[in-house]
Amino acid sequence: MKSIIKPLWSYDVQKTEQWLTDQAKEGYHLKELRRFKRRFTFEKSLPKDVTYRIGYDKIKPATLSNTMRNDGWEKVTKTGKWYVIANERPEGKVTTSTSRDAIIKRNNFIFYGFMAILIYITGAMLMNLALFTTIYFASNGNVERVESPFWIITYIGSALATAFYFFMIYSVWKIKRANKALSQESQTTYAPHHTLEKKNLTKAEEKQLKREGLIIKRRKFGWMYSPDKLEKWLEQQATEGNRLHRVNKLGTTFYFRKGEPQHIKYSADYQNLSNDTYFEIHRQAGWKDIFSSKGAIQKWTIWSKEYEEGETPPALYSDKTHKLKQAKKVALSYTVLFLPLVLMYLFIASMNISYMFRKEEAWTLHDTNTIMFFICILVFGTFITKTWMYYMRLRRA
Amino acid sequence: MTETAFYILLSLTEPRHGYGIIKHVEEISSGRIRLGSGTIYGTLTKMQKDGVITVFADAERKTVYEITDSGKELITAEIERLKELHGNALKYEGEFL
Repeated sequence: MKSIIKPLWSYDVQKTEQWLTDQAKEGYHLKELRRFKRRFTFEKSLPKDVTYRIGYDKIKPATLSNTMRNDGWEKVTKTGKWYVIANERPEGKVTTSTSRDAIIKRNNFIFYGFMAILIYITGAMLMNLALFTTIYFASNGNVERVESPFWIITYIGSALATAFYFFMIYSVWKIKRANKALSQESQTTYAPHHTLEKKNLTKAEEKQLKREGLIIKRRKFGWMYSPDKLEKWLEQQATEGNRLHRVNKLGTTFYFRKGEPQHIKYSADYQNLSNDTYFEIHRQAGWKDIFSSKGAIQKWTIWSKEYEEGETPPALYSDKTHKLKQAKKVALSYTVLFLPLVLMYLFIASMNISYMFRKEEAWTLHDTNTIMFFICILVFGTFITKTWMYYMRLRRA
Repeated sequence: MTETAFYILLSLTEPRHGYGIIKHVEEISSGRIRLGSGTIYGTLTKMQKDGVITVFADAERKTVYEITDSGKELITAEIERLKELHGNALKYEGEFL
């Protein structure tokens, strides 16, 4: 018996799996993993070659699939949503493996969570720093420093905070790397399938084509609030011979390449936290992903598929139920995002408006602020309304 | 159970890829049903959450879907229900002619 505590084992499961294999080679075989204690318990017996896989499953009575069991996999231990499976067959004989998707999804969730906290803390820190430096310079350096009476607590507190800050930076970096590796594991086989045309064009070539008028640029803002209109617009462009070539990173500028008129079906699709299986299944079905947004909350993908004249146009969603469910997700997501802002601004603006008429001066900075608040309310309100109108349009269709 | 869900589950007589399911459903419905990959993805994700199916990666690291024991129970119950529908449809069909 031997116990090892590995606090950050879940950040890099590939490394942990390799570590378990190395342990088995020395005769230590995994018996139990305790999630909260982060403790791996091993039993000593004969050295063996064992392949390990760590899996993550939200479903409680997670059963190992029959195919995997027939392939020699056995469940070793289970703790919370995590489980460890092992295979004693030689590596070349094993043909199956766990899907990495659930782990990538979980990692992404933690990644974005830590990122949000980091950005918040960094922002607050810079603000304080700016405040202190302003005071310092404004008073020509004549600042009196008062020692904290509980200096031990202050210093320990700041030391802990700093340690936590660096731990989060480390976590974000580590998770990003681990996820990239996990993703690559599954993408190697079908990646060449979706190589887009843009990869064949260098920046200089694109510039040349633009100068010759063979590539045209069109701007489109706020299309995510009415994606069906974007789809129609892109399809219309295709029939006029303008094939969507690429979209800039922000998703605001569309580059079309001039050519023969074509029948292309476009689909702008929204996912909460998209994953590899999502891309895999659509690419297998012949869709090309032209654009994917990078944001954490807004995960848009623009898919395209060609079809022949007279053929029924392909559809990403072949039934109305799923299409509506998708549209509802879009509308709800943007409502959750913008409604709190609208309400907050409405509250502030309504307090300001009475002040606007009570005071004597004609126009102050305060009034400009109030106007700005109303513009914000209008803009964000339009976004919410647009997404629900999109949902209603689909329902009527 | 919707027609889409039924046909997806019915095509899992053996583990298949997402696109394999689309092709198979098209085949057994004689081209009547052409499932969109978004529809398939949505249904499969839901089924996985419900424990009706499970996934693994094959030798090429592609995602494969397999029916679970509770999934088998579900589809058998549905087939029984459809048998009854079918039987009654044949039995009373003549009365409407």
